[in-house]
Amino acid sequence: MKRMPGATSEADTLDEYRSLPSDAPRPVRREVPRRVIVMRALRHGHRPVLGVLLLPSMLLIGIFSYYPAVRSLIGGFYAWNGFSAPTYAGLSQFRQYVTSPNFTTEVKNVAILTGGAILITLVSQFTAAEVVTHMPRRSATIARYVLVLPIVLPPLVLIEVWAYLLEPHAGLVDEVLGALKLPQPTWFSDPHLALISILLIGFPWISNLGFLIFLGGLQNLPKEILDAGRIDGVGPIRRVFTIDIPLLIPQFRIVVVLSGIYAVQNFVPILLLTNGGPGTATLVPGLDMYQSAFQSDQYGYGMAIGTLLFLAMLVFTLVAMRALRPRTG
Amino acid sequence: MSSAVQAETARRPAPAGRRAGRARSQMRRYRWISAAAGVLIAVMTYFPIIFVVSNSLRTGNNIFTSGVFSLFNQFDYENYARAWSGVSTPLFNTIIVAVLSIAIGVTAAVLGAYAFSQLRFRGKGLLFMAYVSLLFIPWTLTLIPLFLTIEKLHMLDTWWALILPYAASSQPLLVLIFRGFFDQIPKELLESARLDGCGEWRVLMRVVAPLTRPILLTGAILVTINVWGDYLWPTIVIQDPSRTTISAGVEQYVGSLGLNVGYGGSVFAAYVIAILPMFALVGFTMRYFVSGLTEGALKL
Repeated sequence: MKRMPGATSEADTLDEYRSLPSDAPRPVRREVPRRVIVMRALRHGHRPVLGVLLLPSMLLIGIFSYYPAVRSLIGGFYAWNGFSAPTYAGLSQFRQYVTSPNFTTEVKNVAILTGGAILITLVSQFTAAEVVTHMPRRSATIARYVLVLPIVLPPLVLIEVWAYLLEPHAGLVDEVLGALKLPQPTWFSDPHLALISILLIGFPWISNLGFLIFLGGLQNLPKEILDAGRIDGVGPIRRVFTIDIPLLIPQFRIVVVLSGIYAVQNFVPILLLTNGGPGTATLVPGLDMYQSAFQSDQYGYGMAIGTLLFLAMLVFTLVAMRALRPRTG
Repeated sequence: MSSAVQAETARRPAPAGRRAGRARSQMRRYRWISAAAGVLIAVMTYFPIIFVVSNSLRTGNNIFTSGVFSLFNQFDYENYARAWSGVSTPLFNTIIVAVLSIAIGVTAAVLGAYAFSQLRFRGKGLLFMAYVSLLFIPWTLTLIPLFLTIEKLHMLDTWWALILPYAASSQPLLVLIFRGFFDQIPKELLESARLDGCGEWRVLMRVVAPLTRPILLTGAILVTINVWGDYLWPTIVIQDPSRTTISAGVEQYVGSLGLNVGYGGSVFAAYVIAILPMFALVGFTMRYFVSGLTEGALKL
């Protein structure tokens, strides 16, 4: 037992303190209350307190996050319709999905949607952040407020509004194109344009987390570098490419990973607007997974698709993290 | 920040060199260009919202026929009365679900984050990694088994099917943010409280809790936005239309109007009802919302 720094001379350690005869003279002024001594002795343990503090949170993620994740990874190996007993299927469900006629289409579609979404996100949100950074200070504060607020728009509303705006012929976009004597595409109903229409939802795509991340990065760039650049006569456009982008690589990395992970999974607009159609023009793995499980009762097959999606995202994340790692020196 | 630097350099006597002078005047010109660009961006961003509000006031089936260029040419407030009768129940459901998700999720995260920040125990680093890595586990992986778990717990068609998963899914981000906050509390403050004889529990309740109000608000906002905006999960676990939350409820209401174009305005009125509370909430608490979003992302 270590010597307690604040202990009185009668009882230098907790053990001695305890072993003092009950009628032994106690310190008149209890400089260090007993509670403190006990607590210090428990400093490295804290078991009861620790359990109480961490238990609720760990129960929540254990039951509703980790257990489902593990079950999904296992579930892909069992065929199960939700009623009869699951039967072990080995890799057959994974093979079934990879060799299914829609597999290549789904992979192609999700690649286009994800690549497009990342590109759109980076360009629009970085540009907007640059614009706001160059504004006079007070209007920049207002602009940030105004552009951040729509982040809270419920996605459902945004999706449905864009369905109205892109309605063939009658929608606003086609009406404008018609007034300009330009061709009026049928957007979601056109197999060649359906994916692009999905990407168009949310134009100009600024009000999102990436905008805030870029803005924070730009507003915290080291003053010395900006001053040096200004003295060397670097104009705002050149500054973007020679100073801002190289210094904001960590921000780009976060935004690429987050928007990529979001886009790969986000089949809600497709579910609401095209349900994979026309034909298979907007079919993606996430939607296939959803339909397999909740419409065809093929839970095992759905979990197999979910597992493959997870692996694909894991690879994507690792590759993106590595490709965009900050270069020192 | 950079504008502050610019203002400072502008006030100083002109530095030597013509290039710097040219760069500065160019800077000023770009400021105007960026202000104009900012207005343009804002108009484009808000256009869909303006479109919704304008259409929510239109009469009957004039959504497409009365010319979409003429915004705010009709003011039919009846739409709101109709839409309200359709989506008021989901709206109140959402508030209840959000409040309970906050109560459970934020409380659990505060306690957990406090343990991570202030207490030493074996395996802490590993356990914290288990939280952070959850941010990278895609929800598509857990969607189906989570449904099966809820089914097994006999929670289908109850609010618990929403509340507990929402509270759980908020844990990684909230623990990350809250821990960062607790790490910033000066150690001396807590030490002195302990020296004065406070138990660990009382330190938490008497000293730490009063300091945490701002982050509690941040956590509450983030959970609310998640509950409010989620469409997919309620459609999977809630069959009873009278128990669903706002995003799914609005979609159900719109579906129930079917092809009755005479109620076109009510559709948009329902959208406005779904948007407005969120704009009000975050409009008044922007600072907390932004700090929550950025701090979480930057700690990754």
